[in-house]
Amino acid sequence: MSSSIVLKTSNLTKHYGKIKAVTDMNLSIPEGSVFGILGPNGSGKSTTLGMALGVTTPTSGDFSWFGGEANHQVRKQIGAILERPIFYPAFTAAQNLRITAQIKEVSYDRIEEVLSLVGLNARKDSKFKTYSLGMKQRLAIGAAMIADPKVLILDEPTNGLDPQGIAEIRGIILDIAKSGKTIVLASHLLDEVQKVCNEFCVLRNGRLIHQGPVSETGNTAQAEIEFGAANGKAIELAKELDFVEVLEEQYNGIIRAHLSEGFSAEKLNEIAHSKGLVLDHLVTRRQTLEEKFLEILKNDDSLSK
Amino acid sequence: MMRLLKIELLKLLPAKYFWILMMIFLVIMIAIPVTTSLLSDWVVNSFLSNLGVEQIAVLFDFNDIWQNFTFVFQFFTVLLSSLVLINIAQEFSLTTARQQVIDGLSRKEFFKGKLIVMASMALAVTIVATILCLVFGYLYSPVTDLGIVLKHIQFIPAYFLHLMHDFLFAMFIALLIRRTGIGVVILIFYGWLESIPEAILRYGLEWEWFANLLPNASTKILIGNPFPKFLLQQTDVTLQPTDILISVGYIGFWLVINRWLILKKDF
Repeated sequence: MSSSIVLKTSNLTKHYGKIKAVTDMNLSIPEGSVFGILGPNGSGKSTTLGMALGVTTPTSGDFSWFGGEANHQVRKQIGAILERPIFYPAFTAAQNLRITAQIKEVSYDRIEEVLSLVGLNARKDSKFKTYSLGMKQRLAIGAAMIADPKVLILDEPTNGLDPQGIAEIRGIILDIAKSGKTIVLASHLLDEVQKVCNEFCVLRNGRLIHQGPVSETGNTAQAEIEFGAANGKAIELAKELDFVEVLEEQYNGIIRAHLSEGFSAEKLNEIAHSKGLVLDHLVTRRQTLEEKFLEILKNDDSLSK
Repeated sequence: MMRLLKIELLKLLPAKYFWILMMIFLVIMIAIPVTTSLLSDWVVNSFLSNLGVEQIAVLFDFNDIWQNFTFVFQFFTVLLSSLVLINIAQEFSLTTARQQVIDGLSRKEFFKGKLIVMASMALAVTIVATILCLVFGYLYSPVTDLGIVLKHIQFIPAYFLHLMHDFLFAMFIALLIRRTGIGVVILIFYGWLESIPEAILRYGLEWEWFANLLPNASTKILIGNPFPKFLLQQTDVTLQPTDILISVGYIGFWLVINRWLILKKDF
């Protein structure tokens, strides 16, 4: 089952006159993944999801959910929030969720359950318009969870939230991910995708330019390490060793360096030790998603030239 | 169908605008015959009773009452049309329609749900109108033979057609404008705006038939003005089959256009 595909799009395209919102999008989202869709604002994330969810009519191309036909019955098993939480402002959370439950054909008992999942039970009889942005986002996630969906689609769920709100939403998302649901997270925040997702793709100007696992570190780059020792001894050590290429000497005496192939942080530590030097700082840095992202964009630039 | 009705009721019943507009309309509906009858009673009792006149309220006579009442009621249909317009336009201005489609409501179901609301409202209002006609007719009409009572009852289904036409037209504006405030303004102003080409066609060019083809005019002529006949001793104004045909045609036309707008435009 782990190899089955939740959403597959084939050459999905949406053009608004001259504006090419999405062009030939071929996306496949594997089941059980926490899938990040990364791209700046206006890169086509919401348009792509809007088409897959039946609210935007594609100019051309196709898509399928769970390997079958995409219709409104399938959408009942998908929990999705596009762009922002949408509810009737003058209705209470409970009144709003009754409408969602009725549309998705689930029992009203689920309302209490999802409200406690997102911690809003105490405020269920308050009007939606009295909610803070964080509470609105949580209610939206609750509504999306009401039919116990196989897939949860979240579009910029932490947009505009304060750090505490962001932490709360991420906590909820990670909890839901642990239960084995597929989660699709569209975001322009690299940091968010790196913290939450295990697969990601990059959109740019309405085109898909990369898809792969988040853990994938660049094979092209050499291992990068940081090390430091008391009394500025680190730089002396670095100059002695020919497999260490110093990139930067930081103000606190920590050296950022590349190691030649075949050498590791372990080897460096061993040599330092044999010279009677104790390293008080030693880190191997994995390539961050940010660097990966910049690399992808750079490759894409050189391709389009 | 019950599910769609339930969904729409969940959206309508907690909404303030629904109760405000509905209550204003019902109060007006009941207040008109009540005040008219009180007024005529007062006139008869204070001035005419010693002349041997027992009543002047021909307005309440069977079989004219059906046309009299429904003709007056239709001036207030705009309250209900505004309700329909707010109900539908709001779904787009709040983008709740979009979220509901995402949640698994098909666009067809959304369309059907709104039709069910409009038809139920038109039916309920028509039933209230029927009851009011019967109550005031039996209270004041000198003739209450069943044959006479029911003679012009066809104005009741005509009133239903008029309501459905106006609701579907309000839906059309709602789907086009997708904003409640400006939508209501356009709905109200449209009636006045249309009277310009209507006047040109009707009185300037004397193309009466073409004038009757305008959407607003088509529903106005369905229930003709009954009052000139009391003053001018004209013959009865009754329902014309061609007028019914035009009205039904328009209802079909708006149904097709509205369905197309819902199925084809981005939500």
